[in-house]
Amino acid sequence: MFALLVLSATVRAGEIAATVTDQRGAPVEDAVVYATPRSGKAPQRAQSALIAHQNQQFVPYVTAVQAGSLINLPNLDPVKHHAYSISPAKKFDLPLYSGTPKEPLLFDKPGIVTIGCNIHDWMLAYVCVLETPFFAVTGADGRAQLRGLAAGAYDVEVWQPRLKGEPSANRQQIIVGGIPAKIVFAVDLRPGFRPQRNPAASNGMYR
Amino acid sequence: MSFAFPGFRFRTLRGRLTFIILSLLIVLQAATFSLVLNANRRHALRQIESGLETGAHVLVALKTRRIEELNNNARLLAFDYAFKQTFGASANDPATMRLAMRNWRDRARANFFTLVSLEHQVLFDSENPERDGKAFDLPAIITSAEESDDGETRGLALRDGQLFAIVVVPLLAPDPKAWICLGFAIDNKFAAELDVVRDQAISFLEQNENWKIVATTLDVADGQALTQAMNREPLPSNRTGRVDLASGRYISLLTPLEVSNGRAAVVLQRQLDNELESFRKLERILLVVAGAGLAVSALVAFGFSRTVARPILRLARDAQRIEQGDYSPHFDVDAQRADEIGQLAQSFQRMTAGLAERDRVRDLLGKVASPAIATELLRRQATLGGEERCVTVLFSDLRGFSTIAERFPAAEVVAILNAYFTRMSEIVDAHGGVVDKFIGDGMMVIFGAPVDQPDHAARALNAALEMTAELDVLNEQNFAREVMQHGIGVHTDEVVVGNMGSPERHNYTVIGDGVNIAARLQALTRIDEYETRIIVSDATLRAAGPGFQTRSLGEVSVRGRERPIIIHALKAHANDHVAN
Repeated sequence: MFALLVLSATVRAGEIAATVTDQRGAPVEDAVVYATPRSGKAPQRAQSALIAHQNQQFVPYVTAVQAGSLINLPNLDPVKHHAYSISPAKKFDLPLYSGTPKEPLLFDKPGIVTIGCNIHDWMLAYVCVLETPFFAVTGADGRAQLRGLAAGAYDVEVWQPRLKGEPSANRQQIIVGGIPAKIVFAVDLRPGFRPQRNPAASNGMYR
Repeated sequence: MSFAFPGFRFRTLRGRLTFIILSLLIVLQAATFSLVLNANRRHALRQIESGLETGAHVLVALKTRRIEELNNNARLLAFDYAFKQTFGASANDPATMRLAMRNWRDRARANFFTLVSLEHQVLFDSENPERDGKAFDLPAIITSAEESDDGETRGLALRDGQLFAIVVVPLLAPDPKAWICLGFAIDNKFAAELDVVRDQAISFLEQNENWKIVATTLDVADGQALTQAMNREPLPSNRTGRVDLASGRYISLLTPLEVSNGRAAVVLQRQLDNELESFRKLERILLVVAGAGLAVSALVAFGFSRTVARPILRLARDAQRIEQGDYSPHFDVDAQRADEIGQLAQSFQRMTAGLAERDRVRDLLGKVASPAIATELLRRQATLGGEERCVTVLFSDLRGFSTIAERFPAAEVVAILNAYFTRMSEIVDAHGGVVDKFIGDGMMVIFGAPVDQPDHAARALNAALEMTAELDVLNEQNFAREVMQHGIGVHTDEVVVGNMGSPERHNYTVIGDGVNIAARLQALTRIDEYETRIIVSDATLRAAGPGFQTRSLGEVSVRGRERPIIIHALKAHANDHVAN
């Protein structure tokens, strides 16, 4: 009870303080925590975002947006890149280019979009396209702060690139109202692997 | 040292030496040969085994390489943009997708290409559309890929009774979207591809309940034989064993294979007889070398035996010559040799010299004395002393020889005398008499000593008759240019016989009254009234027994005898016809 009171001082009303850990209790970075109003009516707060090509990596690694948002993929590198996605939520193909594309891409379908570069296999970015505008991405400490929530009942889910199973499996219900909400997810992650930047150097010919 | 072989005796020293040396050599050669042969065999088998082990290493390396190649192809595919695009559009166009997959299957040198969802469902199968949408039949291999660091795995798996090498890599677009599963069949073609080692057979077998060949470079009959052998008694793992196939005996090495959903093994085989051929050739060469060595050794042994035996044979031959009385120096053996043969030769020479000396003495003795006396002297210890014996003594004397001696030169006189004595001596010898001494133109002969003769008296009479007859023959031959006559006196009596004289010089002779009587009887033949050339005492005639024609001459007194003795004229043998 005392602890709750202490915590309540740091969590304001309309906010959800989320902590995501893995099955071993370690904080999980790059997890998208999102809250969907149980009423089903999510306000439209579409915005625009940037995922940059920088040092032959996509930055940021995980981006969450509400459906209808625009995302541009500026190339900050001196070399060209070929960004693409074959994800059903958003397929696109931006053949070799430099600088910032004139037109940003519209992500209007909820779902997970994986973005890659055709000529740099290790470049990888995720866009989590959500119906709700209430979301946040965890930092290295596994914490995320959802703000600006209207009072009401929410289904809170979490997604991460290495999440095992569907996000709905970890769904939690929470009431956001006079008192600040706090939520903890312990999720199962797959052993993750990404294309290595220099496969030959790290793997060799034989294992 | 004596070597006796049952049922077999060597007649010559050389043969025995040759046999012994040769036997030792044969044993030595045989032992060496068998040792070398044994080592050679062991080495041959070890060679085959090591060849198989090398073959197994090569096979594993080739198989690994081939799988690695497939893996690399799959990895390239995983990043292929066109394929990703096709995959992205596959939901609406499965036909295009399947065709692209078959294209990729061929590019990757695989036999099948299955795309599996992250949830282990078959998305597309290049070979069999009926698998689409169903659970993947080899989930373990996908799990293995999921659990690996890089999302890749490879291994062997059985699918529809066929053994496959399978690789799994994630389809990255750019994160894993599905599992690319490529496989090639371990079939006869693949086995042939791995068959880079000469004279080696490769067979892949899988065991469900029974062992079954899935791929092999053996022919059908050998393959069936291998299957039967494996089901009868499986080969040990990672150790060589022997299997008899239709085409011959094989040394086999079974290496178990790690298969995700069953049991399989690869069997490498080398034909034993082929492998042993070079070693057999070596064995044949060895045999020839051993045989040649033995032949040379036999010659050397024979020569050596000859060298050792030759001086001994020569000594034996010399000994034979000496036995025959030939003392002339023949010694072929070098007495200067430092060894035992040289010592033997020296002893032999000394012995021969000794024998020759003794024989010379004996010869001389025989000439000087009578052969019988000489023999008796040599036989007995020549010591002084005598014994009493009953003997017959014969005295002969050539009449009127002194006038001849005056008329003729000395040499002629000696020749006439020698002719006479030679013939007379021969007759005496023939009758077993001993010429005791020659006395001028007369001779003294003993019968019954030194060799005992029971019939000495008869012998003496026979000799006397023959001597007289022989003198007639000599006269007919006119040996003295005028007719010669002789007188013979014979008497039998107890006398002393033995060696008489000094220890340094002595004679074997007889002494006693009887000798004098015999001499006296000889002298009586000069008396013309007796009309005889041979006068014998009554004692002799009685001792001689019947068989002689005589004429009694009455009694005669002899000096030294108290009683007169009865004498007879000897005319002839009893059955001879006498003219008067």
